[in-house]
Amino acid sequence: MKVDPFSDGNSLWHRMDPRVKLLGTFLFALITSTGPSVGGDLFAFGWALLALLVARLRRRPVIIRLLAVNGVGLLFWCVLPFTVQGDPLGHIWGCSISRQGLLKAASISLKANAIALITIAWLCTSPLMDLIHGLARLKIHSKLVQIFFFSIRYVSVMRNEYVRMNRGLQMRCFRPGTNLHTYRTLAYLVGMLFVRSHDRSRRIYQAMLLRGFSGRFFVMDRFRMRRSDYVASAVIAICLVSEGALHWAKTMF
Amino acid sequence: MHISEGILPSGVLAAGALIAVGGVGIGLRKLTPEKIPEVALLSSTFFVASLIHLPVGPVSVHLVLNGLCGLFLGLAAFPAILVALALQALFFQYGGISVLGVNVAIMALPAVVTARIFRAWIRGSSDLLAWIAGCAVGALAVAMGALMVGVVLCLAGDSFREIALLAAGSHIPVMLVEGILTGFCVTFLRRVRPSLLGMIPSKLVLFFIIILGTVTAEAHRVNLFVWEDQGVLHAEGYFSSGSPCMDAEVHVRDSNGNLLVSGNTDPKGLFSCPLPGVGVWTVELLASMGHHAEASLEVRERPPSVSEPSVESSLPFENGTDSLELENRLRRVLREELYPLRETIHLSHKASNRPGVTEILGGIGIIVGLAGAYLWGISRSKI
Repeated sequence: MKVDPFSDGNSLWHRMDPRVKLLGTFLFALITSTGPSVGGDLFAFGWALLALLVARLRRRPVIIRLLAVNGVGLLFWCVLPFTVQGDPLGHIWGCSISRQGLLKAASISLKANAIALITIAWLCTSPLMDLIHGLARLKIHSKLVQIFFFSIRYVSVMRNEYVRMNRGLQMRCFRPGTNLHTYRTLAYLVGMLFVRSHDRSRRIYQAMLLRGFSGRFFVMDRFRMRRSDYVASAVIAICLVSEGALHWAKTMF
Repeated sequence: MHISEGILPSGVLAAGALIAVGGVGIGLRKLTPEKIPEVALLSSTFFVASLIHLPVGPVSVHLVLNGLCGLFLGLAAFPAILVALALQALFFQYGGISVLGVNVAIMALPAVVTARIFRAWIRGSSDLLAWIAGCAVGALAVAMGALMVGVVLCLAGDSFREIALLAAGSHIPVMLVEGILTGFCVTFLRRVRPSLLGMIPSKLVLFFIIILGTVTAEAHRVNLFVWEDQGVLHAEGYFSSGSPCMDAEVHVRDSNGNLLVSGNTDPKGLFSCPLPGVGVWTVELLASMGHHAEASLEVRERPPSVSEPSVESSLPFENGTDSLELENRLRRVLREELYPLRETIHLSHKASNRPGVTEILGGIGIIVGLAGAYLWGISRSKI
């Protein structure tokens, strides 16, 4: 399993400093998720779509991810128009559909899609190790960064372990069903997965000790802000400010 | 067990973020550098395990396993779950960045609490109890999480009540499957790798059992109780369990070691013989299987019992009862009356032969000391 399938490319976002991208994504998510106005959400969604187009990624994997996001959104479209009180627009089976409910559902979908798109466009376009280094440079707790580092490094390893064991099960004609045998077998598989990950972690730590690990993790990469980074940061800042203005302009003035 | 972006008001987001930051902070502070790779690999394993889908009737659910996470890591479950959820947000856009705090709180808080409650049973000696406790941890961690999802969604607004019910209710099959799975996982790990559950390594347990076994072994020994009454020697033999020593050989010797009388005890473990006079007498009891007990009895000069017959004759007894019969009757009555008292004495004797508090404390001290030495040896060999 490739953990960062979007990271190889050569777009404006791919070349950008990961620190800027991390900060930008965080602020964008914060403003978008808390903003009250639908106009602001629309702006955020448009901006995120634009950002995605700039990244020039393959369409298929992006669409698959967006489908996963909108599966939950569908639920809100089905429920909220009937439960939110407001001006009735029409009737289905005797239940009135309210304008406010539709707007609420639309707002939720727009927000979720905008944040997902920005995450893909900004965060997923950096190799994960660069993001980790960016986190370290942003003064996130060193232990947390180390946990991030190791778990990203070993996600694919553990997944391979699982795939291997699952293949072993299938070779022995294991067919999952709703019965105790299935649950017991999978429980043992999960247990074995944990045992192996634990053993591997012991070996990793011993290897680290062998190389003189003394509790401190050194980050080798030094990021340098280039002129293009400053330009991109300025563009992102303008976007964030204008989105915030759209959200809170009514309440402030 | 995710809440997606864009639903929750900023207050709820902030509260979730605060809980997550607090939990992660405490979890990280307790983390030694040695444990970091372990937490990280468990975190990636949780991420992988959440990709495993299980059939429940017509639908398929994916594992959460936050209860197990709490069992393995305790408070360090907070950073582990944070990392796993952040990876999910990055890889699949499940959850999201702004709701990360809320999602961490929803998954990690129940995990830590349920694991803390049921940990003792899971580490305990009974496999069945451990299985049940494992089921409880798995199911309750998901159930509490589902409840929190419901509460959080209700906080988003009144119109979300139906969705909250739906979201919480949809966790019921997950809860059942997760419970059964966690139970089996716990029994598996108890057999395969108890140290992962924080249990003492099995070698050490065996060592403890052997030591404790020798301490509590009960000695089956013979006790001999000797007394003198009216020039007659009485001896009673009983085992430390309190049962009488039947048909055992008894030898009575004087102070020079010359054999005076020998005989066998009756079914009640009693033996009596006339004593020729004052002196120190040694009584030896030889029960079966080499059980052996000895007791000595010193008979001193007593004031002559001359007046006794006259006292007896003056007693206002029925006609025709002579003094001998009266004495026998008295003796019988006295024996019956004193029987409970003797029983009590036997019991206290038995109790005093058992290991007392001091012996137990001493034994525990020995165990702890030996365990300390053992662990010291291990730690030396590791470095």
